[in-house]
Amino acid sequence: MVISSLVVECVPEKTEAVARELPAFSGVEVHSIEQGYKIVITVESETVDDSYAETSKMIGIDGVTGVNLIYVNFEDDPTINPVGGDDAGRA
Amino acid sequence: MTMDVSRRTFVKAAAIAMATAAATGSMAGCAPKVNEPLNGSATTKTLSVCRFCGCGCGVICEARNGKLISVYGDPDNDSNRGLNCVKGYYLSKILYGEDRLTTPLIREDNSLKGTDQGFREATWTEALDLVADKLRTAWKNDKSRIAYWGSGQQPILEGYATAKFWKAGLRSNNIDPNARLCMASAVVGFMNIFQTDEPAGCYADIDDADVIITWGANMAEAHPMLYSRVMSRKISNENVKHYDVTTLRTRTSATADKVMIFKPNGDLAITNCIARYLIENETYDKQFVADHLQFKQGTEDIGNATYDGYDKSDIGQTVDKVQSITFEEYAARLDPYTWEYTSELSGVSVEDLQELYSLFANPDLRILSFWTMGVNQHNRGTWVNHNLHNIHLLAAKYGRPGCTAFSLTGQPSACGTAREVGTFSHRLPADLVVNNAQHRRYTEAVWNLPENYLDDIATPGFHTTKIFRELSNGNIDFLWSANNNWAQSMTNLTRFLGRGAEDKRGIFDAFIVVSEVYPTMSTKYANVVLPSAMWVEREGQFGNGERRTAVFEKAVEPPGDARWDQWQLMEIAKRVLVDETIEGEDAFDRLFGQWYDKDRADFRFDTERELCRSMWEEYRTFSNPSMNARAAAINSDADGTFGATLKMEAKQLAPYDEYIYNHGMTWPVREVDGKWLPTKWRFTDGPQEEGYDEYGIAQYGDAGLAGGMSFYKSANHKPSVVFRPYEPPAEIPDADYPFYLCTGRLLEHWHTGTMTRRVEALNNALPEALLDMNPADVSRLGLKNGDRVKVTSRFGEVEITVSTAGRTVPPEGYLFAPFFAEETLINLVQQEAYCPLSKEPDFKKTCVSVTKVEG
Repeated sequence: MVISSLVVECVPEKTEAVARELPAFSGVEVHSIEQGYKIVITVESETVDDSYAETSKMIGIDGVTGVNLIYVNFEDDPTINPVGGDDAGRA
Repeated sequence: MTMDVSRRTFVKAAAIAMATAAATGSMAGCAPKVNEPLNGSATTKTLSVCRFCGCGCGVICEARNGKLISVYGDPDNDSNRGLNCVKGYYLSKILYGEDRLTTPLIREDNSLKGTDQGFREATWTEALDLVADKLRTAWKNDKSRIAYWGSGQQPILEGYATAKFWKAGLRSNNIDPNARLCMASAVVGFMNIFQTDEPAGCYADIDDADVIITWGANMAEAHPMLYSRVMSRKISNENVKHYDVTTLRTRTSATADKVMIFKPNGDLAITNCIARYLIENETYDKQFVADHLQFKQGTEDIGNATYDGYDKSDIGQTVDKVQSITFEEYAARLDPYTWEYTSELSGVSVEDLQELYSLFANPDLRILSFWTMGVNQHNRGTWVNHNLHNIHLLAAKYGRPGCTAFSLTGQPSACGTAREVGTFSHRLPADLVVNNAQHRRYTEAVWNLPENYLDDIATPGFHTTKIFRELSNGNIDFLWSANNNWAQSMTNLTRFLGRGAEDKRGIFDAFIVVSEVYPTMSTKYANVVLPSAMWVEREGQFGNGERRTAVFEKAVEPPGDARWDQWQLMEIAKRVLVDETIEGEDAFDRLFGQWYDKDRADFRFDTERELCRSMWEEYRTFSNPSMNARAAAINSDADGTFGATLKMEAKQLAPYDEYIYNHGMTWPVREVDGKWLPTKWRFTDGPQEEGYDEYGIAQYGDAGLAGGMSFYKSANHKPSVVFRPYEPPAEIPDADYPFYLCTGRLLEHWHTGTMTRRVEALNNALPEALLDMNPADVSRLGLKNGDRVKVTSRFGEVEITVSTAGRTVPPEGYLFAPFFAEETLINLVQQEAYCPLSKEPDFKKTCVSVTKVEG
């Protein structure tokens, strides 16, 4: 499981609406709203690619002005760290 | 190994805590200063910097069992304060592409040049012997026939050693970086105006600006973290406005308060118009002008650099000439730029021009201008840079936090390496240039060379376009490139890849060496491919757009036989310089012997950290003359030989470990009571502890001048406002080629896509380079969305798919295509014309036709 956290920045008056919309994205949990326009979320997905695919769509939500990645842990991403060998993913 | 529940809970909690802290701004200071495991003793944590754009975002890497397992934004790096854009997801993944180059390759079949075929795997010894033999032979035969093409992605100390080898070892100036393609116009602007390179302000200016203007800059896609900061500033204060002055609508336009679309080169007229009315209406800052500015005009009838002999033509040799004029004469030169005439030239309405002017005329507004490639990649790129600085200087929109004119960079170390180390054909480290005797003497002192040793390189070498022109003309025998992909990013690839109708055999006959991490267009033309360590597979340093120097530590080993570029350089240098001497001493040992033991084929240090620290001490001597008595005497012109001081402390750098401890610092960095303090606002007086240039002004400047500023690096302490007129593009649309074509970058793919296109999700998000067209043009040509078309210029042709739903919305008569796609290779149609002053090509206005591909 790839776990990442992001801060989604919004137009202040649309922040609540965006926060309601975000859980519809795969693996997304909304944790808090900070300073009235920043939404703290986590994304859990199988791979980094999946995480990117979900979060890159968020800029298209009405009211979202920026999507900032804070942390990403990919130790379980089978495309980067295949089960069964530390170097198996390398050419 | 899969995370167990407790590990997963821990990681998720950490993720939430970090994001919350970043959102509330409470995270600074919590990052570790030493390597500490986040969870479990097998995990290492290292300091790093993103290796994509010029924002220079700090990141922390965690690794376990020799592989990266996580990356997060560094809260203690003041450039990004814990934030990254979504490209941060791929900082790790780019290391692990399936086709990483892990073994040296030697081309056996030259007839297959231009393809991936015809190589065999080789040992390092074989490859290095061959490369060195070819370089040494070419060098001994005629050193004008060798060249090195570097990069704004090359770490600082790798660039430093490369420049030292090329300039002092080979005594050749045929070295230039790909930064010539993106930053050179900004550089020449800064040098002409201020006599010192790089912006005076910093990213923190965003946090105090009342007005932010983007000029020819798609920040939302090309500098996402900084644009996020712009948006935060707007949200924090509803009176803050963003103006997007651009030739086409982009994602940046989408969130701007006002978008002004101008016709190509209209920027020259718009800026002169603002200057005109600032003076006519007496809304310029009189005290600032009196205290700080001098006025000039330059050679204006300089044609266009469209042909090989331009630089040496009569007009080509006059492009840098300027003469002093009075303020009144400057005002008179601006006289033609009335609202009406400017509106006619630019296509911007009189009302909008007046609105833009009114911002600069308001003394209370803090105005921050950002620009990038729309300004720099311009047949008069240097002139537009002049004009943007002109209006900021006349209106005193300079120096106060929130007020500055800022050229953004496109690569992580365009500033730190290309500009500060000076890997250009005309430069030496720290703003020094080859054609200045005092500069050469200073460099000889730092490099421990005999006096006059560098007189052999007093004439600048080949700039980037010249290198590739001479390559195609058959006048280059040996080319080495690293950290770039010239076979995709250069202009006029029809010519430079030898695909033209004329005989362009040069690229096939020359011996080409490419140091790379993945197969690229450029490796297809290589005779030898050297597999390199990538990003955190070695220790390195980047210098970002706001003068911030930062270190990235080694976190993991390179794969297979891939090796550090610094080691590659040493091994080639020792072979090429065999039997060469400097004052009777082995030349390699004189230049590099303190760092590299050529007999053991290894560095003299146990760790890369120790090596970098030692090399840094030499490099920072350039900006700390007191570290070298011979250099100090030249800096102060102790014996009066030169009649001028160099003021090298103006770019002062700190000891190496300070950059690690402080998570990067903006130069000049000053030692105050044993502590090294950065400078955020150059030339502005105030406490050093708060980021002002207190010690620089105390040493070389004047106190008590307008705005609390002192431009102590400028001649007579006065920046030059140079009148630069409107000039049309190098090519004008006509019946045969009725469209302007603009090329550029989009969010998902960075530059030529050699890294980002190996990431499936990025490729899915933006799989194809599309030709963005205005719907009216599409309709007029009988086309529809998704049609395949042939784009033809005077230089070549490509096939591409039309889009009216692309990322940009060009006005009628204007097209946009990104350059990331090798299969499209849009630069086959790209003109060669460059700014005559900066030699930076114009990638924004090649004239083309569009015809439907039938069938």
